[in-house]
Amino acid sequence: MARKNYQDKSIRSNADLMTHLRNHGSAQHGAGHWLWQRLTSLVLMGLMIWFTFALFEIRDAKQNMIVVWMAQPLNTGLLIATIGLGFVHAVLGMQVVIDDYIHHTSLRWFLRLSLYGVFGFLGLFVVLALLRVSALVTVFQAAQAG
Amino acid sequence: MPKTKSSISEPAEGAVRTVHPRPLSPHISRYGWSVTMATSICHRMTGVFLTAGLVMMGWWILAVTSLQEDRFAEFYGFLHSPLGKLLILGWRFSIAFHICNGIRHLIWDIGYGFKPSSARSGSIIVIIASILLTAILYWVTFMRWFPLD
Ligand code: HEM
Repeated sequence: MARKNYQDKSIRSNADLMTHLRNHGSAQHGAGHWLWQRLTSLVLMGLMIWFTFALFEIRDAKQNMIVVWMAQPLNTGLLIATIGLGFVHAVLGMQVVIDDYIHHTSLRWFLRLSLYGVFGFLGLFVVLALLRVSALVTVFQAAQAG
Repeated sequence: MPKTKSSISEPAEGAVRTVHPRPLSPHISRYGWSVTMATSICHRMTGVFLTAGLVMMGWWILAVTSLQEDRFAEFYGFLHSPLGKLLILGWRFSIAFHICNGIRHLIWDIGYGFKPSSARSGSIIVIIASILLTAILYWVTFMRWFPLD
């Protein structure tokens, strides 16, 4: 996509522009974006299969059983990884969807920033909640054993 | 020389460009649906739907870890409502489809499968595989392969 506000002193013609594009890859952060989308997808594949089967295992469990399940170190770690990498992959993906359909620049930026904001905060809260409960259960179990 | 502003639609001053009518493609109204178009748009729709699923997963974790029964009941109440059940059906299919088609994307990324015929057969394989996987996920749920004992 040729950006309207593309400005570079060294670019004086369309031929220059094409040379520039050929030599420098993407105009913005496209390459990193692409790579992260693939890297996260590889790990997510395993995590999603794990989570799907884990859900079947605990789907009828009472709240306290699920808390204990979430607090097991392996499960805490995998849940944090799923939420963390999932949110990165989802934000990268949703940004492409927004960029494709929203051509109004300020609306596009508003939606992009809302996306980062909502997923950033939600991700942070979820990770903190998992760590908190994991710590609580560990301390409780240690107190019971000791 | 004035400040140059380059873009494809505005050629720089003095640039010679012959303008002649080109065939308009893709011309939406002259396009028929193909199976590759269906899988392509489906990857996007399942991706967006899975994003909502991830938010749902976040809500689930927050509800459970709040250690408050009413938060938990609220969440499971929603999950067991007709809308919740419909969403769960959608997520089963979305997980299956997005993973199958995601693998196809990754195969493209390492440079295989670009012939029109392989693109078409790949699409068909992905559709069949993801419907089968969705059915298997259902079966696993109903047969309770993994009861909590
Ligand atoms: C929680 C799980 C997931 C969510 C929320 C999610 C979401 C998304 C979204 C919103 C997009 C953008 C769609 C588009 O631009 O059309 C996307 C693209 C993609 N996803 Fe996922 N996805 C998930 C899991 C996976 C998995 C497990 C794989 C691995 C096979 C995968 C592979 C891909 C690939 C390769 C793309 C890029 C497609 C492209 O470049 O057009 N995703 N995903």
